[in-house]
Amino acid sequence: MNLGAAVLWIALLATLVSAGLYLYASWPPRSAVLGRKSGSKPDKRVELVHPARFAFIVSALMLLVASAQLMLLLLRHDFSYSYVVSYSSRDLPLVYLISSFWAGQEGTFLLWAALVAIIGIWVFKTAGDFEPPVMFFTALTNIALISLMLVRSPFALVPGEPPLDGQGLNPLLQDPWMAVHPPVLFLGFAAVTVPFAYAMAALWRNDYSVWARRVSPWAALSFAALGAGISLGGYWAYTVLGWGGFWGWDPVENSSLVPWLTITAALHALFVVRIKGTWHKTALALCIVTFILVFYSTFLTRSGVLSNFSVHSFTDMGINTHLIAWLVFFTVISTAGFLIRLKHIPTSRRPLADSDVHRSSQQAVGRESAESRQAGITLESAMYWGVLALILLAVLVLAGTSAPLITGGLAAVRRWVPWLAVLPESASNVGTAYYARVSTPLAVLMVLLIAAVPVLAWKPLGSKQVFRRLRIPLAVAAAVGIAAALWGVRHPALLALVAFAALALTANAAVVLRAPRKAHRLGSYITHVGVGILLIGAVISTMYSSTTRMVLPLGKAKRFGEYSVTYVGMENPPGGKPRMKIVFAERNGRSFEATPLVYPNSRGEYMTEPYVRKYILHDLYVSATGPPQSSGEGRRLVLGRGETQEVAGYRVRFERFVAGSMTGDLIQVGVRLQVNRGEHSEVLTPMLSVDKDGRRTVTPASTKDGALQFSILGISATDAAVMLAVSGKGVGGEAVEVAGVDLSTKPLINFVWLGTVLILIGGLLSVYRRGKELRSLELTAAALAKAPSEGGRVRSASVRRGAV
Amino acid sequence: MKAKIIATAAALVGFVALGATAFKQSLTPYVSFKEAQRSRGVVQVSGEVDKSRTTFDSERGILTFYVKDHEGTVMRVEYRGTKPGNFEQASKVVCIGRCDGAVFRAEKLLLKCPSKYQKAPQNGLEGEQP
Repeated sequence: MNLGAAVLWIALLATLVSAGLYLYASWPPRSAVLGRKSGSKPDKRVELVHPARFAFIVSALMLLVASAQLMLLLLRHDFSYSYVVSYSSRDLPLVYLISSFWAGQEGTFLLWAALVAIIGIWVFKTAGDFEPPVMFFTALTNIALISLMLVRSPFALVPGEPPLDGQGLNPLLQDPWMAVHPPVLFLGFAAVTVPFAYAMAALWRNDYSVWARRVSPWAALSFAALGAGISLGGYWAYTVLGWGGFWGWDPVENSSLVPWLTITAALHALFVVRIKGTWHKTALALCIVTFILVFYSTFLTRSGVLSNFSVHSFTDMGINTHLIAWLVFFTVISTAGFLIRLKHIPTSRRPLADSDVHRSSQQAVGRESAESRQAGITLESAMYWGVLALILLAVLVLAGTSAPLITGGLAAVRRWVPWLAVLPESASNVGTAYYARVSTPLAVLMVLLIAAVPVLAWKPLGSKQVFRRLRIPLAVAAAVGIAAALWGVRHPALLALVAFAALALTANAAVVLRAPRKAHRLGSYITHVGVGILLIGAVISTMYSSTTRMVLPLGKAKRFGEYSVTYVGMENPPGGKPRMKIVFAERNGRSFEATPLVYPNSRGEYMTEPYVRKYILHDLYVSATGPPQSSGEGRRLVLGRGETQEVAGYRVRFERFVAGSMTGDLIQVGVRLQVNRGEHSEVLTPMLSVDKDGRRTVTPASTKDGALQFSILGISATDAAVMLAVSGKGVGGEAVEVAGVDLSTKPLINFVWLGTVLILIGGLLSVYRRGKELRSLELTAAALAKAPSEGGRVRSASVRRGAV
Repeated sequence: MKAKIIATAAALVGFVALGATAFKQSLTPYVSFKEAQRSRGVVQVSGEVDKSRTTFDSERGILTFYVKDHEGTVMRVEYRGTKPGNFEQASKVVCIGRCDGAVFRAEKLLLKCPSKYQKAPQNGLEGEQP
């Protein structure tokens, strides 16, 4: 056994010890309140918290040592370890060596476990009397993760002689985004452990008084981290991986989106719990489900069950049984806990079940329920529909993602019961159309609710009042809707989505703009503005993106919109990846060169990376469909000055160079060609211009009958020679290169990024605000502990202030 | 309260129905060429490529090749675009598209070679894309 593996074993043992001690300290399950609250003699079990903490810190240290060890092995190129062989090589630059840590499954499990451990330390420092059960469930998560690593160890040794060099990092992953996207996403995965642990702890203690307050900052953190991880992935997919868009509804993308949707629903449910004291069941269930979904998505994406259906590729690594076992284990314990406590979970409007608070607010409760009997829309009903919409979307996306499993299962049923012809015959996947169809109506509902939130209150509000308060946003939405319709959005559902997204955007932006100095307290409004912007960008950029597949013969210009597009050859920069050079010339004489990458990987298979030219209101997206290939039509011609050659029955003579317009930073050169066919003779002057950055623009020239086209490929002034590409029917001879590219414009794609950033900023502001509230709550609680006699009123007052 | 429950139930039923129909309609099943000719929608056909008969029309930008499915039916497949990078190595190709008479027009080609995001198995280890 090597150092890394030994360290992992110690980490597992320490986590087991910590979990055991914490379990004992929180025994018995029902409301085992620690000594401080009641003032009675501290239970002996409470003292076990200290060794439990110690064991947890030991396990955290061990996981950090293991991570440092893996990192060192990668940096030192220790090829006696299979992980190092599989994911790195000597020629990798430092940043990619670091990234190779999380290039494989084993490394990601290590990263995940280490992050859970670090978060765990933070949790036990802030959990107060929730510590024993919360930390028990946190430790349980890490037992699962570490045990998976012991099945597939990142420290497995290479059998036999270590190789001299590794297989290197997949070239697609050799990208700066690889250094950030996985760690952030796994931070999100690790963070959702905390809401789960708190929900389980609340069930364990059968005490629902403060769990929502304690869990809120963590739920917000999970929301922000998971959201950031997902959006970094989307940006990476768009700009580098060339999947055509920022979101492909790929199983791997979906499997992190679904827990994000449920944690978002949980955040809203927790909001209602904090203020009204209802919705405990929903919030508890959502916190638990989010965690289970993270495990389920890990199973879906790593078990190989989707390997035929995903652009990401996965293989069964022999951990399926273990993963399923843990998934079942967590599902069973949480479902059982939830069902056992079902009758005890408060359902009535009981704000903050602290008994003293409870009594003093009885009257308020009576008044509220009288109010809610009036007809009208309340904030709570908006929350209700919003949470329902989020859950429905999560369920439908999950169903689509699991389609191969569902249809596979149904197909198996059909084999037994052949007369059930409705069932599918074999496992198959759903297309992106499915997701578009189910998510559009839900998104419309969500933006409508988001738009109403700023004007709604807990008191019922008549719809007339709602409309009156929303009149300015409604006017903006109508204007945006008309503009979108004129621009070309004709699909009614999409038009509604765009207009209502504008409504949501304006209504929420108004709140922030009215009190910009308080913006740090308005995280949710900022997030909602972001949702509006994101949805407008998403609809316009995906549904109204136009893609043209073009086949570009070398040197021959083709039209694409306002551009004249010419493929001028491949470029192989030293130390870089091979790329196509494609010149885009505009009518006004300006031009730029697009360089989409297309290169073979170590196995000779071709990878592509797009070239993205960014404008404020749209992107021009150029991606190669494959490596350039030969076509029989056309040939290259090298001519010295005065030389004549024959091509396809034409005699071509290179007469002289022609100097074109020479402005300060643009050099233009033409080649005067005399082209003869029988009696007929004409002069053609293909041009080549080079700007100060060395970018070349090719202007080809065609014979009058259009049979032949000449473009300059290169010029040698010293030899007075020119290399021409000649294309046309019957040219024959040498083959001409043909490049296939997909050209698309992505309108308003920048809205997607802007919306995402706003959503995340809002999320982070919530983390900060909920954390601060929790601290002030604890300070009050500490003050109360010192002066228990007059505590009741002070506490209820501060609790209420914190709630708003 | 009663109205809320009814509305919720209606929303759930509605969305489950919408989800189920959308699910069923957007399934792109794997079929044979014979079934593809009968079907109207987008289908996937997987088969082996006859590499000796692949041609590329650079004027129209169409790649034409012949695929033999698991039933042994050989069909002419047309794909708009240049040859995908891994075409030569591919043992199997999945054509996603629809039949148009005697021609299968592929909108998308999936090449079944050992995955391009994955390294060759070595020492029993395989890679993945996170």
